[in-house]
Amino acid sequence: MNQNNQTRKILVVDDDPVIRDMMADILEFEGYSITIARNGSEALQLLRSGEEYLVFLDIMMPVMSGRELCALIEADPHLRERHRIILMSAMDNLEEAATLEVDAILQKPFVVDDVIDILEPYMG
Amino acid sequence: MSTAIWGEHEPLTAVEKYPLPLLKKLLQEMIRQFGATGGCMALYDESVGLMNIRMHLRLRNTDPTLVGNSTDGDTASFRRRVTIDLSNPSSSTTGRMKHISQSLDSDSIVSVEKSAFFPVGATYSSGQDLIGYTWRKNEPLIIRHEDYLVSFQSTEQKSFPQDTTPEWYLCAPIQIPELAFDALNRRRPTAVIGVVLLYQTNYAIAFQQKHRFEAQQFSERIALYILNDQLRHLHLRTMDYMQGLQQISTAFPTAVKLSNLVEDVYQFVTNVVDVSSMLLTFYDRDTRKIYDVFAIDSGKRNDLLLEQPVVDTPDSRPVWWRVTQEEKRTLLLTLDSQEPENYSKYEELLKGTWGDQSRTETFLLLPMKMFTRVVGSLCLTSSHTDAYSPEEILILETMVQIITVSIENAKLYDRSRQSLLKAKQREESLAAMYSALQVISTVLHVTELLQKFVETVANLVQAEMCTFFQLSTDEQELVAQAIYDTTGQWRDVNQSTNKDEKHNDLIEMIRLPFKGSILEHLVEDETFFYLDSTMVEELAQASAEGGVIFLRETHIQKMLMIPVRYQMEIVGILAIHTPHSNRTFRPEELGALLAISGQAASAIRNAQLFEQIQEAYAELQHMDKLKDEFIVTASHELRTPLSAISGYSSLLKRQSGRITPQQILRFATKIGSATQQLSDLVSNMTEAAKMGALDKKLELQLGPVQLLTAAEMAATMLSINIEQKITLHIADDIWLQCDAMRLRQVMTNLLDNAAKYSPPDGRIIVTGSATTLSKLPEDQVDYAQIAEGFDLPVALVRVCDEGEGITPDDQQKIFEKFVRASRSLTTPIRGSGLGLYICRRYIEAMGGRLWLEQSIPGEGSVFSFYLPCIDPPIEKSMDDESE
Repeated sequence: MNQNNQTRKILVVDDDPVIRDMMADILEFEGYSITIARNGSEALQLLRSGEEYLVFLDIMMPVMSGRELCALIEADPHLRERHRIILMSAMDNLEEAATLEVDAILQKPFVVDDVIDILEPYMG
Repeated sequence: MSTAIWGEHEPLTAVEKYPLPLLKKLLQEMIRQFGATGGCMALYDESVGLMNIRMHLRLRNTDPTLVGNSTDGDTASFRRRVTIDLSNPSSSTTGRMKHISQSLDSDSIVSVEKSAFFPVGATYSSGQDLIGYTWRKNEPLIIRHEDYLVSFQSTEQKSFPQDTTPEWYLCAPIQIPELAFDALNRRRPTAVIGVVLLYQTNYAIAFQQKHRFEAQQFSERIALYILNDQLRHLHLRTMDYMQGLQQISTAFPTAVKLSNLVEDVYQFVTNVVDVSSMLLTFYDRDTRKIYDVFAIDSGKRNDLLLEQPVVDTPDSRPVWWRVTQEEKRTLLLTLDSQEPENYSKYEELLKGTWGDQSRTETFLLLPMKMFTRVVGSLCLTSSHTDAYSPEEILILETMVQIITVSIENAKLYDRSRQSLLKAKQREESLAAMYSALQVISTVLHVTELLQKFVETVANLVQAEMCTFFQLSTDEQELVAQAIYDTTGQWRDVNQSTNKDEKHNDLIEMIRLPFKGSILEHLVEDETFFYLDSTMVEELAQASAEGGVIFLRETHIQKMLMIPVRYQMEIVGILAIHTPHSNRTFRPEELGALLAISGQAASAIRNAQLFEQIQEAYAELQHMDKLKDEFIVTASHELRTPLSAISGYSSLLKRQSGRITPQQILRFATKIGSATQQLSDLVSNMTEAAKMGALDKKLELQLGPVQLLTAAEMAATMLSINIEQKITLHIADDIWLQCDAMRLRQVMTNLLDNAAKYSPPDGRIIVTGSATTLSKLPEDQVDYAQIAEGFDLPVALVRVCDEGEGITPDDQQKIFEKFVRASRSLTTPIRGSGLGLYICRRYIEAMGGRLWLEQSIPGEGSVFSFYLPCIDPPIEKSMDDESE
């Protein structure tokens, strides 16, 4: 399963190491290598580098939340165009999540198949 | 209406009563007709009761002092023509008058102002001289001069001037024919109104017997002329009266001033009849009082009356009452000696405000009738007998009727104006009350409402001061809630209105006793009552300082107290002070106050209920917000371990074919850890719930705990999930008396936080040291413990990170219950614990303190706590604990 489009990298943004580790475990089995950021601020630095990312973005994070990051991406058409954003959101935040300009929403808690299904259109 | 109208009337002069020019012409004519040399005419003068010679005429040529141009022919022609005129009854009076005046142009007969006999101005009583004799005899008389001298000049020979010595006299009474009286339907007055006397100086031309009859006829004509003229004047005067009456009636309703009115009445009355005294009396049905408002005693006015009318009751004026209120009739009395019973019967009417009128001759009382009511009387007296003729009385009655109507109109007008004014005032006060009630009803803030209430009440009745006392919940006393004060006495209290709390504190110092005091009894029985100074003093003695100051310093003489009831329940008392006047409120004021108090009671109750509801609602909202935040955060906290369990278990399943045993172990550990996290979370949530509003005491399981062991356990548990390296600098001999699980939770929480806000390569250092309470930072020490003389040995634990630090704004918030942190959604404090709030509660419950020692943005934070230290326990328990 390593025939993935390597032009786009995967970035997992979450302040919770449990979730970050789990995403890494899941995606590595699928043959993806992932980059990690612990908050919006760290993610933004990576997004501003030349790479194209598929971003798994948590909403509630210290320093810079997923919401704040979304707003910054939205304000920068160049960033918005280059990267695909998948929001990881709990059920109780879905409504709010729907207001953000993202490409897809991954509802927590999720199973491995959910992750694979949601990333394939962007990585396949 | 000015009195000038009445002033235009001249009093009835002699000229008016007896038209001398006409009489002169008549006498001239008579002299001619009877061929006399001269003659005179005496007329009755009422004022003296004598016959008064008003004119004396003589043929010009008989008087050498007079030069005339008349001829005999003229005389003859006059005699003829005048005879024709006078004998022609069909010709009109004016017509005859015209002929006479034309026929006398010659001036052959002229006035003799200073005659030697029967001069003008001479007066004669009945029977005196020839004139008096004729008057008394009431019949014409012819007498020779010698006989005249013998009969009337017997005592002393009067020297007659030689040139004009009369030889014959013809004397006739002037009397109004019976027929004329009948036609006028009036009582016959003085029968003889005058005497006409002709004389002849030529002895040869004697008066003949037929002349007696003719003279009688002629004198009757003279009488008719006089009567006619009088009637004409009377008619003119009546016209004037009517005009005056009309003016009275049109003038009064618009501007009645009693003083002007009575003055006009007096002027009018004196113009119509002879008045020596006058009394105007009113009767007021409402007060059942009799008022003498105007009195003139023999032309002298009682000026005091208008300002201070004499007031009497019907009982003290029974005769007046009977005549005016029962008989309701005009009363005309003749008071001469022939009718003494009049005097005794009506003595009350004749004496009083207008002096003693019993010596007058005529008394007239005119009732002032308004439909069937008699509202007063006008009394007149005259010193003359029969002073008031029926037609005069008629005029006076008319006048009285008009002024009665006018006065009543004026009264009604005034009353309706007053009631209109009153209605307007009432309307205004109702409007004021309505808007006040509107304001009161719409204000839901109790303090504001009460302030409005007392202010409104004070303004409504112009009270200097108004206070509302609320009944305390234990119903023991009345506590002032709002004061409105215009006197400035309590301005200090009022001025601090802006500082609400202080203001209320000050006002609430004013307390009056209720239970068992006079107030309690009065409130029970009365809808309102007044406190007098005795009661105030009694209250003051039972009051605390605030109440005493209030009661004594305001110098209450009288205070209106209105119990404010909601349904039957006493809410409080409204006290309306009038410190500077001993005031009693009018019924309409009381009505308004009671109404507004009733309204205020329900408004107060509404506001109180509203406030309670507001408070409950705010509490509910707060709880609701807490609940929402709790749910949001808790569900988020639950989501992470759930996600881990869900993710790793699905990963195990999906990759079961390729997965290595090491990986299985790792994933299973993750699942186990997440499960533990969930489990901790649930128990912590239960703890947090216990620490809710009720502030239940934590259930602690105190025992000796080795600090190092607890720290190691926490660090080990966390190290699975964090990247930062945790370094522990804790001596292994530090033992604490605490709940082991709580301590581990606190440590885990602090380390988790440190890791969360630190970069991956940041270091986390935990230090533990034994010290005593007095060596700790001042602001974190409970000095009460030191003051007891026992410096507690404690262990100080510090958790240092190299994270981003905590903003000053957040430094306090972080210790609040986690659900209340404003940025809880964006900067949640996650992990096994539920935040610093719980940590602090735990540490405090175990006898220590937890605080943020320092936090420098970009460099890191230091959280510290201390707990009481104990000596290390024996070996055995140490092994147990370290497992």
